[in-house]
Amino acid sequence: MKILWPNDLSKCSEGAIPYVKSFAQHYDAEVHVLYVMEDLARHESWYGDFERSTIEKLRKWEEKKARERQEQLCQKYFEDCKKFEKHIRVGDPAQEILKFIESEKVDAVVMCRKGEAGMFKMGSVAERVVRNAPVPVVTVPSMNGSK
Amino acid sequence: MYKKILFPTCLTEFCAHVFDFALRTAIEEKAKLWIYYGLGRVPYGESEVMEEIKKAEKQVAEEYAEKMKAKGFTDYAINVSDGDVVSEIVKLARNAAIDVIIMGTGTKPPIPTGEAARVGPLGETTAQTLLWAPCPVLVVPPALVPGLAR
Repeated sequence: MKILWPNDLSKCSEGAIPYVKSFAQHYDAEVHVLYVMEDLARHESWYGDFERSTIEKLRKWEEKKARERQEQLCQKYFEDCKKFEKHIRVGDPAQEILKFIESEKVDAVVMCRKGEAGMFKMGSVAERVVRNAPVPVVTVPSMNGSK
Repeated sequence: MYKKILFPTCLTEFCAHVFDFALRTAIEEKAKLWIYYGLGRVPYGESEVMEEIKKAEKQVAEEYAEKMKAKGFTDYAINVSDGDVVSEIVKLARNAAIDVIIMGTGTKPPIPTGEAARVGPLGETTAQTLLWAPCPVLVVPPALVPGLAR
């Protein structure tokens, strides 16, 4: 069994850890943690052209930070990272999550209902995933105090 | 993992498929299953409401009791109330310290369109429950419903 845990490194998505862990233990499942980076190159060049090298630098920095955090999470919460796989994609988060479900044949998704940028109770990514996912999606409420 | 599962039903055929999923989960998890049916806001007096509740309880039992009996599952409770359905689901989830709410995407079966069963929006009750639930909500997609599989 494969569980997908989309994680945008927000407090709320880390609030889903107990649920991801119990799922993984109960079903002896693989946990796939997915971080989706924004595709910076898709932005219009509002203030003159973007330097390709700047975009590349930003992308590499974000990817490095995401990998570090994924590694920390796996070491801290998922003993010796057995059955824990880390993935990073670039693009629209909801679309990438849905594509990932299809391509990796994921069996269930556990995610927080609100991400890092969310100012509403339900995040747009969670909503689009729930609406369109072909597999059960467990949405976890944000913990008190999380952004 | 889950010891208390809440399944809000709409008593439609589509809900019956979601119930099968909830029942399977409850059996696997050895959990107690709460089946909730909301009458919504009804413009009746107290005695008429009580009568409606009794009628609905009987209807819910008729719909699901046999299925549970056939699988030897006895650890369940049927709960019917009037009032705003989402508020009642949230209240029940909080008061009974429910671990997970299992729901479908809506009351109406989505229309299968060949390869992708991705039509039919998220129903209002599910959308609102996702917002206000005090516990995780597991949404069963139409793709898992027989006949709508992709």
